[in-house]
Amino acid sequence: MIEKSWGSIVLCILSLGVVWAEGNVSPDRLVHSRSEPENWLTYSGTYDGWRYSTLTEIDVNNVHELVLQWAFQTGSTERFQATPLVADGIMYVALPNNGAVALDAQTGRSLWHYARTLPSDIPTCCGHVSRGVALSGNKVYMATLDGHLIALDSKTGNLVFDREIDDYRKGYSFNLAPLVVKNNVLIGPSGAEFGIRGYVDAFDTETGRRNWRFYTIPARGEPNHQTWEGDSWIHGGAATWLTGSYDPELNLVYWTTSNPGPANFGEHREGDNLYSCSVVALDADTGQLKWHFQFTPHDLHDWDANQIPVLVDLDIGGRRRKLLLDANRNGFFYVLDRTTGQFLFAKPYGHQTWAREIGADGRPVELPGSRPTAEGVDVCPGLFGVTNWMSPSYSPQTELFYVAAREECGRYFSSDQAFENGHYWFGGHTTAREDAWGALRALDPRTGQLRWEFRYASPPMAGVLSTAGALVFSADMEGNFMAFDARSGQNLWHVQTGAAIVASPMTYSVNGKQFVAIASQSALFVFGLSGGPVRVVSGPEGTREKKTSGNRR
Amino acid sequence: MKTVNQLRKDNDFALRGDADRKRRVWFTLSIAVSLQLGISLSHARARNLYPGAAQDQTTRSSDSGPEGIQRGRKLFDANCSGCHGPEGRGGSRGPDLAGGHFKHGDSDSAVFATITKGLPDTGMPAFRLRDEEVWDVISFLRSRRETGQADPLKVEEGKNLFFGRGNCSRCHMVNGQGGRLGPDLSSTDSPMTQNYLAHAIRDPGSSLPVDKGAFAGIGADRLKKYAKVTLIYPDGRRITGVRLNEDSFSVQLMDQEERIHLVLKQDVKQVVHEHGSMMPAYDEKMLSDAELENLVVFVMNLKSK
Repeated sequence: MIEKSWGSIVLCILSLGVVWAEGNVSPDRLVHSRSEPENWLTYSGTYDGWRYSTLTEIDVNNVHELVLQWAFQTGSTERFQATPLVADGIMYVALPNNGAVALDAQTGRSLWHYARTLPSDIPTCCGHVSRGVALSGNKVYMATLDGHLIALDSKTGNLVFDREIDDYRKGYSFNLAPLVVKNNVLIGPSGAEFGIRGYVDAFDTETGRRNWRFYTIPARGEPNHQTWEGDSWIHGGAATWLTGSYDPELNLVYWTTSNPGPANFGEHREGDNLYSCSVVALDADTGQLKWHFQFTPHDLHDWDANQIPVLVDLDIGGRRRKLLLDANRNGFFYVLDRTTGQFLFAKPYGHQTWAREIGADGRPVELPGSRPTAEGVDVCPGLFGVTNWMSPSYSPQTELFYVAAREECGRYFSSDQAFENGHYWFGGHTTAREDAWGALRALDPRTGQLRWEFRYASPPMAGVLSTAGALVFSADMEGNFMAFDARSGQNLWHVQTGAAIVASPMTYSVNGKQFVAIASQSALFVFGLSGGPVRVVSGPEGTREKKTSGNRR
Repeated sequence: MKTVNQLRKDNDFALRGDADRKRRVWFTLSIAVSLQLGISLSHARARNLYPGAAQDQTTRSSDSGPEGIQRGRKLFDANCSGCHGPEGRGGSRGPDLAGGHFKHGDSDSAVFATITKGLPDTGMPAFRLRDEEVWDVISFLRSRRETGQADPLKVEEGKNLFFGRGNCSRCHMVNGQGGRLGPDLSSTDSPMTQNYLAHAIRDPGSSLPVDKGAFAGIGADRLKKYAKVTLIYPDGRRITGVRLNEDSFSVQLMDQEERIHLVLKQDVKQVVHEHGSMMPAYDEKMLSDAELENLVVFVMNLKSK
């Protein structure tokens, strides 16, 4: 939102384009980001993790007319996983290898570019990726693969501060989009496959000093430390490599954790291994643990619980409840009470063969023969789970929960592998079956029942966006970026981008013209309805008229 | 902690699989044994295979005997198979390494550098391994290749079969000659082992997919190659062929006349994914064991070029 003093200045200027507005992202704007749908101020669009937009210019009737508006090419063949952010006409994109750019969101032209020289010996499982930046005030924040948190000036890309957080040589590496909550920037490392001990850190947005740290593995003397046999807690993993969600009323940050290490061998870490494969609710000001819920106790399948917690208030059991929806990697869709962590129910949303059910206490009832063995055992889902870090979406319009589902089983092998600093540490390995497929699924969050699905040729890795135009956008590994009717799942539009898509879509608007963006391999593609950019011309008494340069909108 | 022997046993699990695969392994072992008796192949020490090795600046710090290879296999499983496949035969994130073709240099020192320094912007990271561990991995990789001096008579007999009575060239190309429906058998991109080849000729319909390492799952290119697909058109017309590609909206295939069909799924009534292969199974009536051996020798000899 443009403050009043700036507004009059903007309106006085005759221009054919967008005037550079202030772009100052206050904590209040972040809390109310749903009320400015022209912007996308944080990773999931809004704190509740819905990845939903109230924009309606693009809808079920005209989405088939979407055309490319502009593309931005990164020049890198590293995986491009980022969700761009947009604030007041400027788009901020995290690039592979921890570069960053600011673009004119209407034309795609770059305003500044930040490049970082990374060391050549970073141990990382999954590429030199970054899932995005975060905005606060006049700064852009990125957490880096070499273990730093940096802040850039949002107008110039100049480095404001660069803090070393942890030692990348020990496997501590950041690839998530940070989450800004009030005066804190929240980040967490990846690296359970290198035997790290996970944490969520909160850094002051102005100074970069740490305000609090929550370790996801309790130390000696702390509650639940005894869920780790012996000293296994020291390299226990429970990494925190995906952006969490936030409830400003409860003042709780919900963050998810990865598997315990070593992933496939559990004989030296007997116990539930808390808080691995869990969601933790932390006080946003102090980082104190308010409650936790563990999806997969003593996990042996590398089923990180790093999925987006989706916060929705719905009527369940006759009363309105504050819920946390989680389509988990382990194949179950969970509904929890986000005030207390109480387990309400869980239902499979994809094929799984490892648990008879999730019991009334929230614990899985394991089926025999699902634990990895030296000879190998076939289990569904495979290593990458029924879903993974890619964003789900919730639409209040349809009251449906949308998730990209992977139908892929795996063969799990275990072996006793000693820990060595900086070395991959799985305690086994997993192979993937070739007869795999995928689907975009719509679930009724009240029951977990499948409402519709659209099948893909292979298991996807792209997230979902839903909009008030009754649309759902997602993508597949064959490179298709697609729009669906949110109510029926009918495919209404698709375009072939030429490479596997492993990012989540977002949408924004400039001067009333809506754009939808998706990262694909080395390019960011931005689509909109045809008709060119909208011109803003000032009229009498501060009014504005919109004129398009083309004949059609 | 396990004994060295137990650990070695563990390493063999990459070769084992489910009961079906065990049966096939025994089946092919019986063929392989008879092949081995006939073929005078020698498993050359890795060091002698590559002309470039003599000029290497980098000195190996460990030997490449069987123990080094086993250690290398374990390291490969833990560090490399996620992208390069469990036998190094290629996953979607990493190319085939078992064929001896290394895009960025196949000398010892070049492979050493690739592993320890990585290849920026390709997805190949630098691996923090001790020098002797890297050499063990390289020993393992070298051991994946089977080469040696092939009996020229068998090569000639095999060639005659390939282009003649065996009819292989109907679908397979070698060095630019032959058909297009099946893989190019002279290509260095898809090398095979003797066992795999013998089995594939006798029983192509059984799925012998290379189990891809798990991390291959997040690359593109997940679809099984050379899948048999039938299109059924609204007017009842059917076309069966080898799938070139497919997604939710389109399918591209080559029919038995080597015509390429580019099809939107909205234009066909059904796309049927058939079981089995377009390639016929060559049983002992069609191809005796001796003839099979000649064929295998011929094809393997192509790859050593």
